[in-house]
Amino acid sequence: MKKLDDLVPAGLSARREIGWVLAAYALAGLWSLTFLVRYFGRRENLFTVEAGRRVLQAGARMEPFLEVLDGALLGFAAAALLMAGLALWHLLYHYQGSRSIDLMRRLPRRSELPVRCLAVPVAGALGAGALAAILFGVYWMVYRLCTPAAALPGPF
Amino acid sequence: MLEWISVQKNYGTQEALRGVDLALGPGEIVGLFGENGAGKTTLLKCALGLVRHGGEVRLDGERITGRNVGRLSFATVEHSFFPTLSARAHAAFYEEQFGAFDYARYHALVDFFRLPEGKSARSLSTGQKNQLEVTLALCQGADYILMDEPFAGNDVFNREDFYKLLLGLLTPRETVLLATHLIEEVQDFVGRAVLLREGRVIADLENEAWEETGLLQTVKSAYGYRGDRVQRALEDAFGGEE
Repeated sequence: MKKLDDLVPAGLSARREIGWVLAAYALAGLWSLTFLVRYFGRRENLFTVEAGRRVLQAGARMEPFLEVLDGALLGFAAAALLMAGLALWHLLYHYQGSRSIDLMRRLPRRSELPVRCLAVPVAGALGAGALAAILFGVYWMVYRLCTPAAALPGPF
Repeated sequence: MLEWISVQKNYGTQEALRGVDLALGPGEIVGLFGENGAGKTTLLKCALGLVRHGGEVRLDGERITGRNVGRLSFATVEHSFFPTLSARAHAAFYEEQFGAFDYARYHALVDFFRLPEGKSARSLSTGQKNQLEVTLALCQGADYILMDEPFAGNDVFNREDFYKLLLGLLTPRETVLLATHLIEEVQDFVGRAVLLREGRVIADLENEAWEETGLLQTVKSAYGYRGDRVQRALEDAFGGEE
């Protein structure tokens, strides 16, 4: 059975790299909260106060979902790009201080070098894509459920 | 048998190997000699599949693939270990990857070289790095051990003792191909000498050929080395003044 460290270049720590990936997700997730700030600001603008009561303005229309979403999920795209950089760094690692690339390229398991260079970056990029998709769904639900029906535009 | 068949290699417009034919049998200890740029390193790398090349390299008649590449090991002056791993961790890596790591030989060599097993490779001295590189190549469990200037930077006593130790360690099925400039030092160690010049094999000699004159003189003769070249250069530099 493969150990976790068999998924990164020999001498590097898979746990540390996974920590970096999770930190990138956390930052991207925090950045995505700008959607909620924007959304609830826009939603507040739909209302007015009449005779001390908070009421929906006549003809008020919420901006389309994608406009409100704007770049809230771009942090995950940046995380996916960082994964490409991580893959490149994994490859260059084999040229630093020696030519361990020569050892990796003559191993009987020909897949060893690509697996060790790409496993974490590919999983990291897929994870970023999956999280972005999940948050897209969650934010869309928030948008649909929290916006007064009379102010909802089309689906997006 | 490890065979290079009409192997050619170009780096851009530079011809590094020009149709090399060479065969090594089991149990041979072969010196590979030649000036800088003669193609020694490239010849070794072609066998290991580290560079694209023309012609073929065959191991017991088969192309070298993942199935049989573990029968070749490589020690290079450029070093192919992982700088952050210790000798012990390298042994475990080799065992996992090649499956036939010789721990008895490993411990014998680590003791002989007095290598600190737990220190990272990058913290070793240059000489110790070479020793680690050679130790791993010798313990991989390979039948053909290719070495490229493995002792550049090691002291002469260490080298001479190592050659003696190696002669005692090697089994009859193990073949060593040693590319080096230290011709005089290895003349009692190698049984055959292959001379490369400008990407061609210009001589392939058995040890009887240098018994009387010594290997260095034999190599110089094969190379057409002119002993008066220094004097001529000095005369040219000083305009033939007395």
